[in-house]
Amino acid sequence: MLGRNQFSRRTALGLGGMTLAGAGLAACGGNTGGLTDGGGGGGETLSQWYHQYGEDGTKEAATKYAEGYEDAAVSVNWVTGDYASRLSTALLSGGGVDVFENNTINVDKAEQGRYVELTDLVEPVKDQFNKASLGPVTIGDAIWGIPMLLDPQHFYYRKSLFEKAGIAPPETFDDLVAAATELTTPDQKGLFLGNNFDASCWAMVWAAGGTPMNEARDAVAYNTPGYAEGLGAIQQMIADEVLLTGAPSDWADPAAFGAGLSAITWGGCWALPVLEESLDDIGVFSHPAVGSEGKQVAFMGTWNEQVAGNSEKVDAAKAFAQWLWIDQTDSQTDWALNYGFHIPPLTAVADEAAALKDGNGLEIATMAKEIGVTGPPEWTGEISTPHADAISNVLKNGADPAEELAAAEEASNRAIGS
Amino acid sequence: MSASTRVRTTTTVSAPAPERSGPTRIKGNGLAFWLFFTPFLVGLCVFTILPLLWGGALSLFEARGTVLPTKFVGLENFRGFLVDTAFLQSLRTFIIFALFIVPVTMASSLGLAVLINGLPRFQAFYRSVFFLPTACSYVVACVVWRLSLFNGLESGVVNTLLGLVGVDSVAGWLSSSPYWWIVLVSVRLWLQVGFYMLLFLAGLQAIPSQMYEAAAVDGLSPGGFRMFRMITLPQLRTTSAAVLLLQLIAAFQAFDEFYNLTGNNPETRPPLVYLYNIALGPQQDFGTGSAGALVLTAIMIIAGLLQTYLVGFDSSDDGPRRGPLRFLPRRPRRPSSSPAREAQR
Repeated sequence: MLGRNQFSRRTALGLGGMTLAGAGLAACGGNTGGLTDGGGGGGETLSQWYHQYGEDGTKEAATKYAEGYEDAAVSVNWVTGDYASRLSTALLSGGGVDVFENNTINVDKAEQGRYVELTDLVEPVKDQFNKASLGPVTIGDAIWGIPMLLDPQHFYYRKSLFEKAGIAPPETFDDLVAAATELTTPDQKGLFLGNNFDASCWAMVWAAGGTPMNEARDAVAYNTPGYAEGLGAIQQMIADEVLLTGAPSDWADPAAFGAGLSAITWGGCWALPVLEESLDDIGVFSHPAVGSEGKQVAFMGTWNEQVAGNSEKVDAAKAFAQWLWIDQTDSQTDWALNYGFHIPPLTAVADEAAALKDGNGLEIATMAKEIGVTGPPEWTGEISTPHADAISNVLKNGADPAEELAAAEEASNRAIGS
Repeated sequence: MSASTRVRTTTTVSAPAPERSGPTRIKGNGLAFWLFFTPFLVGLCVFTILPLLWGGALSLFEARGTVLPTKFVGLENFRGFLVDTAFLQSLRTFIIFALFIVPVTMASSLGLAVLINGLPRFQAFYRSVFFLPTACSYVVACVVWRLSLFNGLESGVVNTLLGLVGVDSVAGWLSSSPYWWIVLVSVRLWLQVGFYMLLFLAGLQAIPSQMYEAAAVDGLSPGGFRMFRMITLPQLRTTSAAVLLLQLIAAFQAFDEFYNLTGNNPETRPPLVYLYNIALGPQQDFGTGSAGALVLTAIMIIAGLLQTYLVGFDSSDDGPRRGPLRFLPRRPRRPSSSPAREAQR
């Protein structure tokens, strides 16, 4: 024990210096928060990144697939928190990622070489993929990712309520408005389109006969008479108090619908297992056609496997991505359907999956196959902001849909030209 | 006793020692100084100065998805903000928010401080109670506000209270105007009123009790509104100016409650949320984001200088009164305690 005289200023400074040096060394040794060794075979060691999935067992499954790969050792980094930001930083700085999943492929990053082009892997098997699934990974003629999962969005409804009221699943937006109005009671709203009323608006772009951008990708193509008509119909439902709002959780979480707060809700396929477990009368239908030029659609979110442009093991990373998401198919079925509910993008795999052969699973798989739509990677934040603001002004402030869409179209096209 | 007046107990009087000017230098601590100072200096350079300079440079380039841009665009990023209706809308949102939150917080915190200052006992308890919410995270408070107090269900806390007094419940607290302002202002008020109350309380406790006694002798009723207007408010002028400036800056920096409660609604998207979406959202446009950050910084500096000019921190009573507080009566002069005056007594 140090006496008072022994504990001099020099000793204190020495201890302080050691503390600072220790802190510095500790900072150097920080880990990335979710690294698990996949073990695996010999050769190269690859770092594979996933975002944190909510379903139990997914992390173990990802590790199991990595361990099953024989040509390289693969370590799985299960990234918690803000995946997009951390991934961007890693791709920019060369932060130890070789192969990773991504749900938003960015045109600028592709041009800057942050991703490795995977056209040579996907092109030969292009026809085996769900046609819409390749949209978000294709820029011009180049393919930048391998589709891993499809998440169709659609309407859920209570079959018993529909039968009791003598209503058939809606095929047009007018039918949907009529059904929602009919099923609205003091204790239950007819329809839930999210707390901001806008959850289905993105799908409505296609359902009204438009697309986010034209074929040439040099202008937006969302401003259609049908879209304005559809937004006007939502405005009317807001005024008639047919729509649920103020629910504790938003549309992506099926809790509000499961608790009986609405008879119909917009939702994602991921909610099906939970809903079927809690309710025995669940049905699904696609987004109905809107206006005279409209068509029924199912918008699909996607996750895709990519290879990092700054990886030092590009060939090994490409080989692993090809093996996991193209060559072998057992893991794809397992990944999509054994922990939650998603659609495998390889049509042959989806056709063989037992969970997609009947009931709501078959309905959703058929939607994905026949009327699935996906957004283009050229749809950047700059282009989307005027559109999102227009929707908000229409639905929250009662602005005129046609005028707002026209102004948004002009602003979006200005952003494309900049 | 200073060295210059020290007298030796000898027959000679020592010459006054030369007075040292400037700070006292402690010998032998150079190494210690640098040992402790260097980490902070390095941190300041790496995390503040370098990013500031880098941000300034990025604002002159097209930098989408990269912080090492190559395409120089000059002032193009800045020019974009002049015609960007969404950015101008975000400034309008800030003005509306500031018009709500600043006066309400000023009045509430001053009112609470006056009430607590007048308590004969339990002051510390009430001070702690009102200050405690300051320790709560904005994000946590927003979750409580959204899921519990202001959810749109009949069973929501606020809707239940409205029902008790016979008012229809509100479904769209966060999806319709003006209700979202009630949610946004109330959460910030709850979180920050205790802090400003403490500042006012410190100001109140610095006012000499003799001033109130003198005013009472002059006929002002103790605890009355005239006493408050003639004595308390003028004495709190400096504190009020500081609180006003702090609140304006805090309102300008508003992010958490808007981001967590109303998301990307253009009507409730203050400048920081808008810039966050540009620079750190999917867009990752660091060039435009950096330009926007510099524009915002310039606006904040101008607003701060203007506010200081109009209200001022000076406590002098010379010169003309300006600004929103010009209606306040002049601060009563304290009696001088110069030796001459003491001698006259």
